[in-house]
Order: sequence, then structure tokens, then C-alpha cells
Amino acid sequence: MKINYKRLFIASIFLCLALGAVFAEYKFPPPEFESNYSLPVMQRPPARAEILAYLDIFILLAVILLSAWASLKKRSRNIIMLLSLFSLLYFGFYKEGCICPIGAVQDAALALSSPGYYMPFTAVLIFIIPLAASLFAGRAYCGGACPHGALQDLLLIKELKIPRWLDRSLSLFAYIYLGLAVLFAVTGSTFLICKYDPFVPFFRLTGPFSMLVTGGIFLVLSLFIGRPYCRFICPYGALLKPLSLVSRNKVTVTPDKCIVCRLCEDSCPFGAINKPEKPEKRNIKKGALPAILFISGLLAGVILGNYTGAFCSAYNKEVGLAVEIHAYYEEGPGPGGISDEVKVYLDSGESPELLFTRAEALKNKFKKGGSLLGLWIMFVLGLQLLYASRKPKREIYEPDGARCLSCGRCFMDCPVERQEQLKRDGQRNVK
Amino acid sequence: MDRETLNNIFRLALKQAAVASAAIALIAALFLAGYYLTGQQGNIKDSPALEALKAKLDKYPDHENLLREFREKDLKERAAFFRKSVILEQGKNIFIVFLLLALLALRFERALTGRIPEVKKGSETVYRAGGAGINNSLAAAAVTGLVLLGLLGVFAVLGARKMGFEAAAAGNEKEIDLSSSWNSFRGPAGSGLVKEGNYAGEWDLKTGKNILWKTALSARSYSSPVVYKDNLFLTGSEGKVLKVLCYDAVKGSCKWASSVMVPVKLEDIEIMSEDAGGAGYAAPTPVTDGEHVFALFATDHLVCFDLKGKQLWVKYFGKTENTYGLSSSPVLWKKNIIVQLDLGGEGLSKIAALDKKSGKTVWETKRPDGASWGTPIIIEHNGKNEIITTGPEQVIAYDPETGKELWRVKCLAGEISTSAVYGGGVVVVIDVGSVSTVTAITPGGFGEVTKTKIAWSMQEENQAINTPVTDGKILVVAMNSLITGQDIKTGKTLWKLALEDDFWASPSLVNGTVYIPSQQGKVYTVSYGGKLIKTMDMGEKCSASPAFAGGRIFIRSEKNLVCIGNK
Repeated sequence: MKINYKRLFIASIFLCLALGAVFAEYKFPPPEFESNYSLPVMQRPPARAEILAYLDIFILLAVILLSAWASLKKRSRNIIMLLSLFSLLYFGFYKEGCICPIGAVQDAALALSSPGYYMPFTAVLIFIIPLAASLFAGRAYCGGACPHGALQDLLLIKELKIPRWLDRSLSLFAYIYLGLAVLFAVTGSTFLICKYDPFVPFFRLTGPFSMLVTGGIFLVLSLFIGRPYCRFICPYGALLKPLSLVSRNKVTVTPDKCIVCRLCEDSCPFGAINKPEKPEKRNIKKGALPAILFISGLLAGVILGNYTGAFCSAYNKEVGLAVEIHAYYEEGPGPGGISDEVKVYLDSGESPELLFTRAEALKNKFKKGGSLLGLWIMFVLGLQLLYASRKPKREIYEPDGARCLSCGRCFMDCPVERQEQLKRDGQRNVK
Repeated sequence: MDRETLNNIFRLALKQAAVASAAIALIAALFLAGYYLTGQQGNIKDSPALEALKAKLDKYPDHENLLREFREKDLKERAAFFRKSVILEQGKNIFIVFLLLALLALRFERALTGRIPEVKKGSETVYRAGGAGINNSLAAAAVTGLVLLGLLGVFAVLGARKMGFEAAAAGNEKEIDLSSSWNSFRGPAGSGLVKEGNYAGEWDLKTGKNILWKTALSARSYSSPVVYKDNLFLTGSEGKVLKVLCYDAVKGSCKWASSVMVPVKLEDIEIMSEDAGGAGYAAPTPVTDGEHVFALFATDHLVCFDLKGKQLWVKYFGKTENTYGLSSSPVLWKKNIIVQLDLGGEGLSKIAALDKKSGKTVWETKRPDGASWGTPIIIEHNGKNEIITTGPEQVIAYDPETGKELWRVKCLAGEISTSAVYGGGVVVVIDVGSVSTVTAITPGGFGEVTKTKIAWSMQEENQAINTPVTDGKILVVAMNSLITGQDIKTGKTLWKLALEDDFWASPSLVNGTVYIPSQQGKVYTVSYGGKLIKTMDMGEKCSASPAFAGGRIFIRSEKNLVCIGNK
């Protein structure tokens, strides 16, 4: 009997999603003790021992260096795959995906904006090392050291090509997500990236329903689309892209001169190989219009972002509570009674005006942050338009400096590389 | 065996592994679904059976059989719930692990199947269409831009709507009334004086008389409790972990216990512990403004928490050379927190005001070198506010708005652990030594006013390391084995009460009665005329000064926190 195991797997994933309720937290009252037993106070688990935290840094650094060596010097897809597997096991399943450079973006933003937030030095290193490495070796972190990328990469079974225009447009969302994550972090609202991280529930084998749903969706997408999270969502990737664009060393498809054989054309599942281009001559009228449009766009971003910030503030717990408390005082309890949060707040005895003042201050902070977010979105969009309208002249196939994830897939499709490999094998046999 | 055969064997093995893992994952999923839907459930939260039993119990609270039945049912429900949780947890782990294994095995099988691409027909260079391609990308970017602008517009319209609370919050910068709370070391004015409220005059820990609650403390320190409404705040340390804790002042339960996050390595800072004769890591008493709680630690960190236990900011003042460890408490002044940091060493000592919302320094003034342990007080004398500090050799007054030094009196000797107290128009200070000199100073003036501003002084052959209390008429000083009452105007001794005990905690004057906890674990109440009224046994050393709020007395002993009130 021939089993269609692909369908079987996909059915299993959907079953996994259906079972999400299993992961939901179930809270119930503690027993009512009649003795003098007092319930222990909830304690936070101790932080990871400092020596182990530094060991993690060392391992991260070693994996990035090895990944850079494998993609730039050794040109071995197998080594990169092994590194990915190691990263998946160590940074993913052993370290349970935390702390990772992606989430550290929020720590860095909050530490820079809030005097009370202390970011450990090890977390600073985790945030900075991959960024610094990208200046010298491109996205070596994405290639071999990121457990999120590794999981998606290892699951890609049947690749569906995404048109270049769609790929480029969707990749804008990573910048928007980065802006939103920073806005929610600096306002002390939530760590958006961690809250909706799609892969951490798999690394921890547990997680809230929302995370599991997003995780399931990305797992299914990863079967057919090369690294969807990395390409379209990852806010850290949004930081790595411009840095790796100016990287000192860049991955090349071929170890020698490109013979433009077209064999590598379809090798990259991430749409990161640029084809030769011979732009037609166009008569573009020069004028101030693009600059005026760009500045107008920025201004529109600032104004609309200001109000969008106010909208986002409703998702801050304190602002949300202020809305609820105000409604409670104005209209009384709703048909469903009052929420637990309102009950706890009313029990605290604090004057609601204080809560409203705090909420107002937070809303204003969101509005200011929203203006910057709007400015950021329009700025990135302007750059994207500029990038799309440029006229590069390219005679060979080469990886896109920003988008190449240093996975090494294209190496094995290159006949020049294969020739080199045969030479190396021959030399080894002679020895 | 050649490479291809080996490859085939691997591929076959991976394929079989993928199928087997998928089968296990599927079986686990089916089992989980079945068990989840049909398996025995434990329902504690909404169990109708338990609810019914509880209702019956409320009606017949003394019914033994009913109580037993309720307990058995409750236990059964809980056991069933946890059994089910364990099975679901393990099943879920099996499901996820085998699902991932199946996918990975399939992925590697596919990788081994990969074929080497062939050169395509017409292998001449095919350039990416310059015009059309760029137009596509441009059009896509432009459409994306319009979509983004549209989305921003929609959110902006939604965000432009009022949320309701804005009007209620507008211009609301009124100060919180702290008069009925005990928000800082020795109460709102740092005086230890209580003028109203019904407080218990006696209690008994053994019989429980007038004991409202007692809670064991895990964090250790000499700091005193402070109270705002139903929140009682404490500081302490567990080893080198600095803690701020909040207790329910009514029930005694711990609301939160937050570890302080600091930007330096605490392992590198050594503070003399309580056992070694030092003040330990957390001797300063915290202060609250009703919205935040501020705590200073001997490591030189001032930290701000909100009332829910979230750390808002931390300020590090640099290295300390204070021999026994800092014990001066922070005080609240309008929008600022004032800290006196007599850190020992050369050029380290200072007094500073920090913005309570941001932790940023508002002003900072250098103080004379040397260490001291007293807490500043802020007084209003002749319509003018002054910060009064005690320290090495002298009493110095500062302007609380600017930090500028106003006047100083050189009248102190020894290691100063006492704070000043104000009443009857004079500031009273005590130095520390085998002979205690009590000095009354008339505030005001500029520069050194030692010769002109000392109203009176007296000496007693005994040592006081705490702060006296006054109601503006009588001054009560608690020394080692002696309590005295002085006329605040003249310094004349009105009465003396000899007690075989030692006092580190400061006395409080509550509606005319002196309350003073001792090192022998007693709390003495002494009448206004100097007669011992009652002695209550607390069972262990009491080094912290008590807090009085809402008719309740809160006493921190060595390992416990006790709440006392008239029952």
C-alpha cells in the first residue's frame, strides 16, 4: 500500500492546532486549609548561572564564526546544515529559544529608553555579536546559528516560488514589525516579538494557544515556502539586512568566475539570487516631484502615526484598565459583570484619577512613539521605492547582499564549484 | 559498498523513520484528542457537585459528615485534574517530538534525493527584463505603500477617538494624601509621633490577644515597615539578593516580593552583615508616595517600584566605604526623593535629590567626608523648609529645593547613627558615645551658627543610638538601660525610667504613650509621666521601629512581622 505521507504530516499538524486547548492554562482556587498552613509566595526562578551565560555567548560566537567559514571559505552546505541542526538542538530545544538576538531587540530598546530596565551584559552581547558579524561575514548568523531559521530551513520539503515583486513587498512587514515591537517595548507594554514568537512553543514543548496557532501556521508555511518568518517577519533580519549589504565579505555562488550557465537560477528557495540585468535606457524626467512626494509621505507618516499610536495604546494593560474603570464609573457594571482586573483594581483602593493620569501619560507616550513609527514606515517605504526603481547593471548571477541567508544551497548547483570539488577530491585521493 | 548504495540505504532508512514517526505522532494525537474529550476530568473551579456541597456547608457549617464529604470530593477532583494534566502533558510531548522527527527525516530524505541540475536549453545569458521587471517591483512597492498608508489612516481614525478617561485625567496632578499613612521611616514627618487613632495598649503573642496576624519573613534586615492604605512595604536581603516586599496590611499575606535588578555585580560589593555587627544590605527604610515605593540599599542603589512590584528605575551612586553599611533612609519631598549618602572615604559623601518619576538627579551637594547612619528630616520653621541632617561632627541644614547649604552647627561626636527630631521650635540631636550629649538647636540662619543657635544641651552617662521623639513639650530619649523625659524648651530632666534592656529601634509617642521595642525582644509602653505601663514579649530581637497606621501597629522583629490591633 502506498502511503501518502505528506498528507499524513499535514493532517497531523492541523490536529496539533486543534489540540491547542490542551496547552491552555487552567487556573483554579487553592484548597481552603483550616490549619495554619500558609501558601508559599511565588518565587521567580533563579537566573542562569553567569558562567553558563558566558558559555552561551562563546558557543554563539563559535557557531557564527564556523558558519561564516563554511559559507565564505569552505563553501560547504553540509557543514552549514550540521551547524543549523546543532543550533536547533542547543539554542532551540536546550536553551528553549531564550534569550535570542531577535527578542533582545526589545531588551535593547527598553534599556535605552527606560532607566529602570537593566539589560544584562550577556544579553547585550547576544544582541550585538550577530550584528557585528554581519558587517564582516554577511548573514552568517541566519545561516547556521539561528534556531528559528534552522527549524524552517530543515522543514522545507516542496518549495513554491514566490514572485520577486511579492517577495520584496512582503519583506517590508519585517520593518513594520520591528517598529511596532520597539514601540510596545519602550512603552513598557509587552514584548511583542516574544509574545507571538511562532517557534518557541515547539522549543519548549508548551505555550499559550495564540503562540501555538502562529507556530502551526509558520510550520505549515515552512514546508512550502523557504523560511517565511525570516524573510517577511523577522525584525532582527530587518536590522541584519542593511548591515550585511555593506558586509566586507559576501557569499558568492561560484568560487571562481561565473560562467553564466543558469544552473543556479532556481537553487535559492529564498529568492536571493540576482540574475544578470541589462537595463534599458529610460528617459526619466528629473524634477523635484519625487523629493516632494517623499517628504509629504514622511509628514503623512508622522501625523497618521500619531493617531495610530493612540490606537495602539489601547493594547497597553494600564490604558485598557483605565478604559474599563472609566466605563465602570460612568455606566456601571456591564451585563457580564466586572472583569477580574477591575475587581482587583477596585479592591486596591487607589483613586481612579491616578490611574487615568498614568494612562493618559502612557497614551501620550504611544502617540509620540506612533509618530516615529509612522516616520519609520514611510522612510523604509521610500527606500524600497528607490531600490525598486534603480537600474543596476549585472553580468553574472550573484546572491543579493541583504537577502542571502548564507545557507549554501547554491554552491552545489554551480558547475565551477563541482569542478573545484572534484579537483579537491582528486588531490585527496592522490595523497 | 559504493556511495550510491549507501545513499539508497540512508534514504530508505529515513523514509521508514519518517513514516514510523508520523504514525507515532498520529497515534499520540488521536489518543490525546480521545482522552481530552472523553477522559476523566477534574473540575475544581466550576464543579456543580462541589458548589452544591459548599452551599450546604455554608448552611450547616458544623456538620462533620458534610465537611468530610466535601473534602473527599475536593481531593478527588484535584487528583483527577492533575492525573489528566500529566497524561496530556506527556502525550503532547510525544506528539510534538515525533511530528518534528517525521518532518526532519522527510526533509533529509529529500535532501539525499536531490539531483544535480542540468544546463537549460538555450544556455545563453538571459538578462532579467529591465523595464518590465523594474516596473513590476515599482508598482508592487507603490501598491504596498498605498496599502500601508490606508492601514495607517484606518488606525489613525480609530485612534483619534477618545477613550473616555482623558477628561478625568486632564490636569490631575494633585498630591496624594499621605497624612493617614505611615509612609516613611518614623512616619510622614519622620517624627515617630501619632496624634490620633485607637491603638492597642497591650497584646500577647502566646494567647493571640490583640494579634491580628503574624507572618514569617524570609528576607532579613534592620529596616522598618512603611504602610500606605492596605499595602505594607519592607526591604530585606537574601544573601546578596536585594528585595522589596509588599504585604497585605489587613491579611498579612505577601502581595509581591521583587528582587532588585541592578546594573553592577553585587558579588563584588561587600557589606558588613548583621551577624558581623554591620547594618547589612537593607537597613534603610523604604518610602512610598502612594504610587511608588523607593528603597535605598547599602550597595548604594536607590530603586523605584510601582505598587504592583514592577521595577521602574534604579540609580547607582557609586562605590561606598561606609564601614557598617548605609542605613540612612530616603525621604520624600514634593516630586523628589532625598537621600543622604555619608559613604566614608574621601570625597564620596553627598546629599542628593532625585526626580521620583525618572530617577534623574535634580540637585546634588557634597557633604563633609566620613560616614554616618542617620536619616534626614524636613522641617518647616518660620514658614521656611529645611532639610536637617546629622553627620560627622555637625548638623547641617539644606534648602530642599536647591540643595544649597543653609547653616551648620558643630555639636556632634562619635559615630552618628541618630537622626534629628523637631518640636517646640527646636531641632534636637544626640551624639553617640559612652556619654550622650543631647543638643537643642534653633533652626535658621546662614553659615556656621554653633555659637549662636544652640538653645540648650545636656549630657547623660549612657549611650543612645536611636532617635528621640517629641510632641513639642516633652522629649523622650531611649538610651541603653535608661529612658528619660526632658522638657523640650529647657532640657531639664522631668523623669527617668531605668530598664535592663537596650534599644536600637526608635521610640514612638502614640496619643501620649511611649512605645519602644527592645533588643531583648520586648515592647515597653511608658506613660507620659515616665511610668512603665506594660511589657509585651515579642519572642525575638526588635531592631526596627514600629509603624502605626489605621489603628494597627506593625512590628518587625528579627524573623517575623506582627500586626497588632484592638480585637
